[in-house]
Amino acid sequence: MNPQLDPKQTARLLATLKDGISHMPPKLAAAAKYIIDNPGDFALDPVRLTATKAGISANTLVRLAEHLGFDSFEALRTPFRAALVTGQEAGLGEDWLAQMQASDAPSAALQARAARNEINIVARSLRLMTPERTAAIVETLTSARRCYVTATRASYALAHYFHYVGRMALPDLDLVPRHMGSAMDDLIDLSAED
Amino acid sequence: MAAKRGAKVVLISDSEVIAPGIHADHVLAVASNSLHAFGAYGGAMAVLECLLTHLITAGGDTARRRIEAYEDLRQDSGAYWSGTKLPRTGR
Repeated sequence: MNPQLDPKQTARLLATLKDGISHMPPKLAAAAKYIIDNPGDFALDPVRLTATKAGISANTLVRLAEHLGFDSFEALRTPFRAALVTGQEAGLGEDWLAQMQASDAPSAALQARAARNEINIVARSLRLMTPERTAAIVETLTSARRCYVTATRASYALAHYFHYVGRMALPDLDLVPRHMGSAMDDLIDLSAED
Repeated sequence: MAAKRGAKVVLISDSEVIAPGIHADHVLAVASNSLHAFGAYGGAMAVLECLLTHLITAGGDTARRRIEAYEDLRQDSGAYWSGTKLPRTGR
């Protein structure tokens, strides 16, 4: 495999940036922080747009690439592009899961089963979410005067998240009930030992 | 109650049938199998993420501007550390 296209190189590069950011000159550090925070955008955007978004000059990005040992900005961006497409994850196959299952590491078998379970429930849930159902739901939500989102107990966390992000698209999205329980209820056992 | 008032119900559940007499206009069934005693929400979360993608896309420029307004508010209130204003450490 072309090392530039090795998706793992992105993880290594991000680790290098995180390790090195505190020793970089301020402008290079700003560029590094932008890449760490926005690897997807960095992979997609041309150099000038990245510079604008990060509030730095295009030249700073070129200097960061050189600082990291690349001969051009493009060479730095290439592995991020390779890792960007989520299809890349599927392309990796599931050897990693088989390797985890076979590993002697503590808890490896349980982690492999848990990971397999998560993959399965996500796949099944998304398979059932057909485009027709989704389009009908989006139409219902976007044409409603107000939308209320609700859930109970642990699934309230999902409702809260959906409301928090969804209100950006649907300003008339209401979370009901808005507050669950009382903080005091959960502090009932608070003592000097805490 | 929602049905009585004529409101539409979108249900996201691990079963298309949750209780007798309860009717939802739209159902998204999600898998919640887990290896422990509680349901796992990874599947439901993935479905919600997809739904949000559709809603934000459907929201078009208005939604984009609203998201930018939230971001601006956070930037203005100093909720995020800005990389361009790097705190001096050491040197």
